[in-house]
Amino acid sequence: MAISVSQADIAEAESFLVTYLTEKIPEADFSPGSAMRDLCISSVAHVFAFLRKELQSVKARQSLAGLVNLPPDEDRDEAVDAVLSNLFIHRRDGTRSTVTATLYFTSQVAFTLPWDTNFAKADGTVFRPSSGVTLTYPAARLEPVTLGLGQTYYRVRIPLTAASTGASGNVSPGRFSSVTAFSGQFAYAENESYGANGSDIETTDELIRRAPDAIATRNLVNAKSIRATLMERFDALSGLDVVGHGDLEMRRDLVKTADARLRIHTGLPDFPARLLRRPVLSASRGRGRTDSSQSCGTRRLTLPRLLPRSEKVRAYFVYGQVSTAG
Amino acid sequence: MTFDLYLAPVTGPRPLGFGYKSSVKVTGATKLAQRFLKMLLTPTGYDRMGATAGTALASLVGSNVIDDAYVRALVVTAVNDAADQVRATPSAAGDSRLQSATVLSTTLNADRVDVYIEILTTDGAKASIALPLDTGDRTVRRAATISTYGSALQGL
Repeated sequence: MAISVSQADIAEAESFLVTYLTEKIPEADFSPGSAMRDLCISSVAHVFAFLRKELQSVKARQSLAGLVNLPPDEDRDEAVDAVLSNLFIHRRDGTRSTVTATLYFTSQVAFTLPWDTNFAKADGTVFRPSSGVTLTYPAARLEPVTLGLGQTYYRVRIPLTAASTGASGNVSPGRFSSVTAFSGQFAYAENESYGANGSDIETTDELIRRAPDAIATRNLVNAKSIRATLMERFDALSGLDVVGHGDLEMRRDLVKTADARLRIHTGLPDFPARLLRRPVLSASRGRGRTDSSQSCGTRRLTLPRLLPRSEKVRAYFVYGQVSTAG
Repeated sequence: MTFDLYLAPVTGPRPLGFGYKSSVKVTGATKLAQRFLKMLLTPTGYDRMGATAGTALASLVGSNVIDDAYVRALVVTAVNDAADQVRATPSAAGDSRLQSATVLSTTLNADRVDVYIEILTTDGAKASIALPLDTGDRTVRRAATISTYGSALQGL
């Protein structure tokens, strides 16, 4: 936490000290050039300005609200980590990219692939076998393939994982520029698809944006906690949409009535009329009962059999193409 | 009327202090004279909190001077410079301000330069300042008047 004190900070500190001491000792002369000024103000103004700046800096680092206003630097990153660690929220490490490599051999022979075999791309990205152990592949695993010039190779597909984390591991399809020697019949290796799931270490801004979701009960009880729990637990997840009460996709809340033409979504007060296949002829066919005798428009239903006791859901259904109303 | 601390000359390794037993207040024209002297005897660039504050008068200390006119010209310039700076700085509320500072005389002796200055406040009060500038030893003279203030500072 580097503290820099400017001339303006010193002047501000002097001004404060003069005001403060003049209030305490009104009969003293703290004007510029006086001995009192030199002794009581100027001599301590620099240190006082330093302490004020440090106090401001510490104060700004006590909350996320203050931290977001600080210029991005390493100190800010550490401060955000420290504040959020109090809430058991930690910065995500980056994830390693995975890619499927196709290994080509000149003959159909068994081979042993050491766990530390390096498959390097031209940009320096290194991959290793995802298994993490040395494996022997029987000759039968290699399938023959004839390439453009009529030459026959034998290939096998091996999952690889980047040696280090980062989005740079999401490499483009192409040949590996160098592979640690492991078989005399090995010709070359390539990846036919893009590397996936590689991500950099979480930035401070990303961490702050994630914090509100992470600050929730770590049970699968609401959208925030579901999002936080699953995202924390599965690094490979890059995004998550939580469907709950009030969402159209929540089929749990789609009430099945006796009449298939009557569809009620208890989570959507304005359940769109376009979802109705055919007009409802009579509300009395529904499972609930109506408390209105209107022949069209919005009606209220109580569904005592579908919901807990004493709880009434206000659901709306629509006749034909008539728009809903609240 | 506000007070300032009296910069008292003392003997020993410290040329200046706030008195032997307790600090002394100084007010009125004497306080203004002290501020003026402090500005006059501060070498320009010496004050880190105000790099432009001070005058060239301190350059006389330890120097070889043989021309009385040169000394007087330097002293007058420094006094006017100090007076301008004191007038330019704000003073405490209710205090009288510096009206003028006049060099009454400069005497070139064998081992020092004697300077007599008179300051006039906006209230009409006057204060005389005798300013020895020893060129040889740095002995601090003991005295109780403002006239010794200069000899105390020159030993810095």
